[in-house]
Amino acid sequence: MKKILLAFFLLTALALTACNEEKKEQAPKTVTVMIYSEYIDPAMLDDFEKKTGFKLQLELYEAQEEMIGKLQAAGTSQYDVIIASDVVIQQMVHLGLIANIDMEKVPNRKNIAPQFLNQAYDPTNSFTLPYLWGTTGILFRGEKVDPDSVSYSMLFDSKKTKGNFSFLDESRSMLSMALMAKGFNANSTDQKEINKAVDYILQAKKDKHFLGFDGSVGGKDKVLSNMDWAAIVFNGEAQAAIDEDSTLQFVIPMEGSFMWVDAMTLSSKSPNPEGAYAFMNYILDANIGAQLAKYINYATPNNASLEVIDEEFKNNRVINPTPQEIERMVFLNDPGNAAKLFDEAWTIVKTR
Amino acid sequence: MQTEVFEGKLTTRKHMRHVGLALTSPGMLWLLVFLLLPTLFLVVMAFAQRGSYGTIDWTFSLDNIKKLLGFSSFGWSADNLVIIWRSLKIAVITTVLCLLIGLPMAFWIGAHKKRTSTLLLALVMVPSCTNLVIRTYAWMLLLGAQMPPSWLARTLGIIGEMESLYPGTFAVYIGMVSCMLPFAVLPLYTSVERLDWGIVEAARDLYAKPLRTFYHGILSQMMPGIVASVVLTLVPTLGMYVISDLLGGAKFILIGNLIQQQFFGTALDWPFGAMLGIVLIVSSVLSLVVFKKTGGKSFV
Repeated sequence: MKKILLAFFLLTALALTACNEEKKEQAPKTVTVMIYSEYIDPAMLDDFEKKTGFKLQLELYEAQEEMIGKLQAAGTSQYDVIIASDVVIQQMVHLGLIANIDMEKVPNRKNIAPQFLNQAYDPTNSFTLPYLWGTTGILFRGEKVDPDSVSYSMLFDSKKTKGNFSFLDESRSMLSMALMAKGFNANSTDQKEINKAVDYILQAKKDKHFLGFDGSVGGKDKVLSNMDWAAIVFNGEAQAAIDEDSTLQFVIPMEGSFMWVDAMTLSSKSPNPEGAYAFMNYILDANIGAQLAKYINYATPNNASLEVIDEEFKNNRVINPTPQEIERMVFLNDPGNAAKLFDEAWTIVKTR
Repeated sequence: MQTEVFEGKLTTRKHMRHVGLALTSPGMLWLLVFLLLPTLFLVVMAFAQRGSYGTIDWTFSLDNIKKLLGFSSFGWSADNLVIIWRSLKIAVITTVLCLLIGLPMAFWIGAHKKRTSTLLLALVMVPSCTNLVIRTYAWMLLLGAQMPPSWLARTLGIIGEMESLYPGTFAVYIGMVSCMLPFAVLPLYTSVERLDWGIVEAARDLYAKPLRTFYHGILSQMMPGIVASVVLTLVPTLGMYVISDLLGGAKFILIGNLIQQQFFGTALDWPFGAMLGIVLIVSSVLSLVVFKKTGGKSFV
């Protein structure tokens, strides 16, 4: 036991010195960005350093919850920029994880499309600058149909399902889609309406074609491997699937859906805010924004980038939805204390 | 002061107690810091409340117990209890399956020469060196619609025309049993190795029928091993949720999922998660106590 303890202490000591060294190295010349894995063009690392003189260091995460957990536990002083989804922005503000951005220092802010300003996730436009954005819809196989005529009933009505299907395994997203399918507001926190949405999902769950709940990537894989006929996925996954199998189709149901945006935020204890602003400004550059969108296959929130991007990419409605599609999509609000309601509703969905 | 002789040395009880304490203190310190304190913290947290945005509001009440019993914003429902019941059911069935498969396996391994049996035992352990999630993904592929097992089951009419073995209950049990089997086999093998075959011989000499010989001659000797293997399978399966999620299509949740949902899902209700954690700890400890009580004694 003593040996183990000794080894443990040695390891801790080693880890601590390693941390110290890292900090010394990190002096103002480095910008540390916390970001989803595989969410930036690797070529940009060198390019950014060449253009701004700051060294770009990436800290990767796989899930929003993991990212917030990490920040809450280890503090925000190791990061400069944090890429976070719209739904967690208010929570991060509340927990003191992110700080006001000095917009004067990000001149390229003028390129941002107006639909990403004054939204509920950041009503005062002081905490976020959009990075990439996307939509959520139904990916399915079979005869091509008019994308504006598809209803959620293709999944929720057992008479209309033509094969196995999966739902999204994410409480807030799935419940908001069921709310919309029932004709309610996606951001409703009305208990009766949520109750109806729960019943609607439970009814679909009884369909013998219902295969289960899955993440966006899992759903895409199931449709691609013919295990599923339809699944709810994000548009980036849908495009990847369609690239592999052109018989697939992606639609935003006519009752509506939700869009989401991943935003750049400033860490509340950023050791290098100047570098953080340089990074934000770099991403919002017209050409860089276009390069990023093309590489990741998601839509750019950058109007100037849309002008330089090629027509084929721009006219691909899977990635860049049409104005009518945008019309019927909303951003999900921060549920605040209704989060409890959504969670209880989700427990019911997953139990019965 | 009363002196005693211990290992040829003259010593006092007090001195021996001190030496014993000094020797066990690192272990006790470890348990204190990494087990007792966190558990105590969990108990305290279980009676706190969820504040806004997932913070913890330290006003104490019994609300979480009410919530556990099913009183939610949607009125009373048995959902939480159903989840606990379902977790228990899956854990017990998995344990029984592991035991039924593990026993013959342990005897078979034990029947070989020492060198072969060590090799066979290593083969049982090797899969555990791979990450659990990767092994589970392997099952997902293997049990998929286009693979031979599903095709065979379809041909035999066990499953419908468009169906596959994954996702479903069958896949969940396959995953659970394959994951837990090594833990069941190891203690069983140890007790097979230690069996006193003289007792079996004596039973035969006294004209005991095979079943009776097995029951009194072998099984009663193996009880400690069986208890160990039951505990080693039952307790981890109680909290398992990755396998049921991946192989069962995430249609139904277990207590592990419910806890995960409280800490990392939309709920961010750490206090309720702590309460659920306590339920899990209590049911594990209860099963340990039950098996300790019955395990010491033999069947005879």
